[in-house]
Amino acid sequence: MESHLEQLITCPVCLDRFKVPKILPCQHTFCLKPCLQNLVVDKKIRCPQCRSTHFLPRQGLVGLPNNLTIISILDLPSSNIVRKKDEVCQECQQENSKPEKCSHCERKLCRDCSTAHFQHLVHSLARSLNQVRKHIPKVSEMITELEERQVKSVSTANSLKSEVNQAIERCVNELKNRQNILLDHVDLFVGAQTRQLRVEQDTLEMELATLSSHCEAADKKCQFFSDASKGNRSENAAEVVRLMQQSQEHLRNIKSISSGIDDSIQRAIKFHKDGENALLSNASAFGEIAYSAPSRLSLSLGSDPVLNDMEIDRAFAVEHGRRADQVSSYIPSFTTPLFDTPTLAVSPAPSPDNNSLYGSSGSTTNSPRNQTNAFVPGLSNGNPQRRRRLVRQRRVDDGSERISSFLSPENDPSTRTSLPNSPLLNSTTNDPRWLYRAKGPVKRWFGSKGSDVGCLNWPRGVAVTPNDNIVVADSSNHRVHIFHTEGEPTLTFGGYGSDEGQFDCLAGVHVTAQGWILTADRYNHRIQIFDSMGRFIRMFGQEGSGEGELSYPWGVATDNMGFIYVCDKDNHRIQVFTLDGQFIRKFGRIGTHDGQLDSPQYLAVTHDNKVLVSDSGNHRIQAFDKYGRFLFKFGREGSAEGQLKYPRGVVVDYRGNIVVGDSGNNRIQIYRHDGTYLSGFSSWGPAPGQVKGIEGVALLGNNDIVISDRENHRIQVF
Amino acid sequence: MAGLPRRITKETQRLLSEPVQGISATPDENNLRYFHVTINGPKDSPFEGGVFKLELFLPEEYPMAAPKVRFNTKIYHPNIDKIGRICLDILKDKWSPALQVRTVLLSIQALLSAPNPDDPLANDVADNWKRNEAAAIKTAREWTQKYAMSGGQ
Repeated sequence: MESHLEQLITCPVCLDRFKVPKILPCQHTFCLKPCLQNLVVDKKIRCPQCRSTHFLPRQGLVGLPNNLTIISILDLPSSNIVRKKDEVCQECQQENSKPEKCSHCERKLCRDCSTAHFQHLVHSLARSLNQVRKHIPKVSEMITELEERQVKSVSTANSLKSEVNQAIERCVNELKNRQNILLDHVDLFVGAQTRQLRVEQDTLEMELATLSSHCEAADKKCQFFSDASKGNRSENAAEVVRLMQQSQEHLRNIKSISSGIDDSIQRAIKFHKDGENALLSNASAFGEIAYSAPSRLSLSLGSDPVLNDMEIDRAFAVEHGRRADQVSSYIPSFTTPLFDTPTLAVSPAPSPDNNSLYGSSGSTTNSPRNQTNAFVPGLSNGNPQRRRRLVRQRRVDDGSERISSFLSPENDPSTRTSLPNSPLLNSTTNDPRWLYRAKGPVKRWFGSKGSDVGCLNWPRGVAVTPNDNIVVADSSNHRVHIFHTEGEPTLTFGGYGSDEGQFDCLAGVHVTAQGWILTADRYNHRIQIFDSMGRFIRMFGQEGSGEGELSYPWGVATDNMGFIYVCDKDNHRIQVFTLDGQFIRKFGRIGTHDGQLDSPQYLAVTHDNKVLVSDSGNHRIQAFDKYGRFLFKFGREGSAEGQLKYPRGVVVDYRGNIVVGDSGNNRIQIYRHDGTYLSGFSSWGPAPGQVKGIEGVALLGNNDIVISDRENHRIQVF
Repeated sequence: MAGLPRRITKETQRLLSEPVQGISATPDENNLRYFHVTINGPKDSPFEGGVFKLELFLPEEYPMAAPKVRFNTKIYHPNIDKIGRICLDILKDKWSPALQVRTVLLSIQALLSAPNPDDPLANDVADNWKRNEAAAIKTAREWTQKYAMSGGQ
């Protein structure tokens, strides 16, 4: 206070206390002598503070008004302290008292100032205490929220259970219906058969009666004829001949009867159980209880000790439903199906597969392609709810794969971050340096040059499925090759060509949250989408430079809203599409300035929808927001730490750390979320752990780095 | 010491007791109107990492006249010429007695952060700066490394 007062009574020119303070029309005050005196030029004066020029009054400087306020301050008794040429107080500049060193800030302060300073310290302590207190309700609010969530999850569990029960009951009822129908059919068929058999039996019984009566009659005649004296001989002979003829006829009949009973009737009925296996596997894989997004609240409370304001804000934004775009990724998804469409997750709505459940033969006759195509109209109709339902059904269809991810939720990245006991979230791994500085030795590698299963030929893009399978764009074999996380080949699909499901030197590959595989079919200038089993879903794009047209597309990625981002390499731009291939926007054009691109090759989208592009020809990574506005860049041409040479693959971990395949320098470099350098490893060569031309990079659930080692025709895991 | 205006004494005292970040100014033992000055190259400028030596002289008329400042370290800058003269308005027509040594040195530090090739003193440098900024910045960085880093002159 005192120092400020002192400043007020100090002339800015002589830096001394005002002597006769005169105020200029611009309101600035200076000493009359010598300060103002020296400034007069031609009856004009220019204010040293604001440089405005004023005409002097007729009497000259003396005519300027005195600054009465300052004079009255100067007249205060306290300001008339006699100054000693002593040590100066660093706060008030007074040369009066014996200043002492403050133990807090090492400054020399006079007694008054140090008292004030101490009070200030106490005050700021109180202020920070207040701040802490201000956060206490937030924390207890979060606790209440957690309690509420527990209650909610109990009720969620109950309603999910009843939902499951209902769905299963529906299935059981349907099966029972089928049982009745089949039993009816059995009765029907068998009844008809029995009737027919009865008729046959009756006929034969008639026949039997006829035969025995004939035999009886003929026997009598024979006895009669044995007495030769009886009757007329010629009449008798005619009678014998007649009986002979009758007997012959009966014999013929018997022969035809004894050739066998017609068993074609019996053979016609059988119970075909062809569909039983499919039905059983469908039944055992039926339905799914899935997490789809982590709960940010529990995460920030449970494991992150440095809870900064932003995270609190974000967590609260979720709670109160602000900022829908952000929220969507944090709301636990089970609430959505639960309350939107009650029968969503487990409803056995008609689908080709489900039809087989009710079909009379019970055998699956639909081709796989038909099955997947059947979903397309539903998916492209733009109704998100319907879309969700179809996706759910599709998941049910390939349930065998889903069930595995259900049983081992730690493998599923969508659930990973929500589990507090996840290995990724313990305190030691929280430090990205710890996480990446240890990287370097190769953990495993697989693939060699060739076209057999398990071989690769110029692998380019690489991606990881929700259950940690590794998807490789086997570029020069024109196929997608999927490996188990340990390297056993599990599936390949595609071949050379330009039809649906065929490729011509595909490059980028990406797996969406629901497991769909997106491929950049480079020489066909299009994007193709497949389901997790490699069944073609749709494609879009053609060669050109217009909107929605592509020229050698390379990297491909999706954001958490499901939009598709494509590196349109030879058009030097990024294009954004909806999941059904409709063009939304484009950004970037050739150049070296911020926001301009030169042969962008790969890209990644962070959880907060920042788009990171490997701007290969400019030897840098650029970050854009989701609208394509430039945010920042890092890296420049060179081989020193953090510098890049033709960077290719880029991927972001769940903390925002950025892994870059520094192709020209044959190494992997890792950067923090703001682009500052963290660590790097690997070098050129054919040995395990060395690389020759890195293409794609991807991250496994345990944060292992998967790279596509192009010219060694293999995948390596670090 | 005798005859030294009180204002200069005060300014000197303050410069020594509350130094400005990246700037030091010490009066010469023999002439209290003559200051030995060093300015650290500002962060994110081509002069970053360099320590530039200057001399500053307070003329008889000070503070009614501006101090005279000159770079002693060679520097590649469009507003500073070969012999270290500085093109800065407050050192010339925009001088005001309310300005101080401290403010002048701060302005010079700011000039290093924001070279102004449109108001040049060193024409060749300014031309380069305008024609090929990247190359000019590169040269500036090289000069900083050569002349303003430890062992430079």
